[in-house]
Amino acid sequence: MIQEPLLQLQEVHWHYEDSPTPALTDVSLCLYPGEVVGVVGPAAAGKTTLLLALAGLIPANYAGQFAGKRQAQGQQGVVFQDPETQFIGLTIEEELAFSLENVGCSDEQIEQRITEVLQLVGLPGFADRSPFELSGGEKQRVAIASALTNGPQALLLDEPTSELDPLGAREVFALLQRLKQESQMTIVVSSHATEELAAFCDRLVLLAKGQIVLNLPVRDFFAQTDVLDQHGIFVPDVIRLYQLLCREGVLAETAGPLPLTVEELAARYREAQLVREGSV
Amino acid sequence: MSSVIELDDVWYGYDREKPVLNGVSLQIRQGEFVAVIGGNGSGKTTLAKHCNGLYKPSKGSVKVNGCDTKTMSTAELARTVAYCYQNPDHQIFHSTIAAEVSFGPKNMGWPAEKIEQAVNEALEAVGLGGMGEAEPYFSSKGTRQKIAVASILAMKPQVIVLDEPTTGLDYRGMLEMMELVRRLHAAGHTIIVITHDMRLVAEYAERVLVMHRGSLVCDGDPQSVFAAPDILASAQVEAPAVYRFGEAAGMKGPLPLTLQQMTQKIAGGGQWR
Repeated sequence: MIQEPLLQLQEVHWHYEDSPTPALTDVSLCLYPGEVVGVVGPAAAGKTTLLLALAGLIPANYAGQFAGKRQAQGQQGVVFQDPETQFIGLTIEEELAFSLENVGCSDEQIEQRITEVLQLVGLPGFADRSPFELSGGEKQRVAIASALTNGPQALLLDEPTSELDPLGAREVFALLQRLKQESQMTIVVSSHATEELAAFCDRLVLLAKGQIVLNLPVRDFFAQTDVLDQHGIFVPDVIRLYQLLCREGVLAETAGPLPLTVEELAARYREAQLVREGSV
Repeated sequence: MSSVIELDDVWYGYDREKPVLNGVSLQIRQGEFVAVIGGNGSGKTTLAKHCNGLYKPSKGSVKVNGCDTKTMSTAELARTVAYCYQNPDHQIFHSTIAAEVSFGPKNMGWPAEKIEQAVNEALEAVGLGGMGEAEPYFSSKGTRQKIAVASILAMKPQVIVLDEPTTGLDYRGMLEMMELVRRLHAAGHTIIVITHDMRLVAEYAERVLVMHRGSLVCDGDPQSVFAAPDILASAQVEAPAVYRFGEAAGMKGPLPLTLQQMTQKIAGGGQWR
């Protein structure tokens, strides 16, 4: 079935005012309903800019030169790297009510929606707490709740775990995983955490110097280890191990798709072992 | 080897009911590469901050080169044990990289020539040679992290404590940072790294201290820590992927910790199957 893309950038060029080089060059990207897409790239590759362009915040809220076309259906919720930069309320309720008040919801509707989104991000009963007294992971989940209040079709997250400790990062990835399973939302997340992205994205995009270098389904993406190496992207050890086992003749590449987790790799290994024992 | 840091029954905390450290004893020897792991609130940062006297024990003693930290000034301690914060921006406050890096040596009252030499050497060591006049705030996080390390290196400390040195860096930045730490270790510095990254532990550490609820619950090599599921769970971490695969595949003998070790094991002979 051919679906209409939910969000689309066509041949987008963007040059921030006062910057010597363009931030995005000839970027075309389609996002389909329900897709989970990871964006990776070295520091300063243009990941944040790409997300801002997908959200329409570029060119609307930034000074610079824009060329190309953006098409979008429905709303997008955006989550930034440092959750504190987007907090404005003294309580989580105020924080979450802000955008709902702006679109003219009644008090009852607001209260109900706040209860719903807090439930959704796993923070029920947090409405009266201050966003500033939470752990990093909790803060980022409030930022996600806040991006969800208006029921967006797409959630765009810019390095949502890079300011968090590993536990907070795990919390956020677990939440994204749950949102993927329980909602029909399109999720785009930029991150350096390729191991986590491998485990939950449908598709990955490699961005370097403002250009899209790879845009492939997750297993095809990680098969491109040479390209990833060339751009300094961490290739998860599971994939390196798999390649090693294939090279050494322990596993056969033809026996199945590229494994992305230790569990998948171990299962492939056990299969191969059974075949070997059976043939002896 | 002589111990450079010695904790003897160290207790610390404001609340008697809930001490942050309860009775930690350990010795760190000259030239060791030690990783400190543990969950949030386990006391690992508090432990590390006792090593350079940023905190002093409520009970028990911490000795640095045989001297009790309670009898030493912060300046004296800083010369021996340097602490590098997780967020480099917490320690950067000058407008040029050279000014930033010379802050410590200046405070130690060194003559100008010695300061200049120390600054140049420190910048060279972190790969920022010739960058002294650049502004720290406009550089990437990886570079700011290196400036932070350079500014403690300039004081030529015997021991370097690094709190989550790779957080927020991209992979290349992470590799550069850890190669720098490896070089410092090879040059004779004792290294203490607080980290959650078990890949880093597997690759670089010789010894792992595991903190849980204010106590030292494990003190051993990475191999022994990865082999103890309860200990790993208490530290809220998982063994690295290579190790977990070795377990899941039922490999015999000591399980490889790193890709390099695994490559040797597999290429070295079919015995492991």
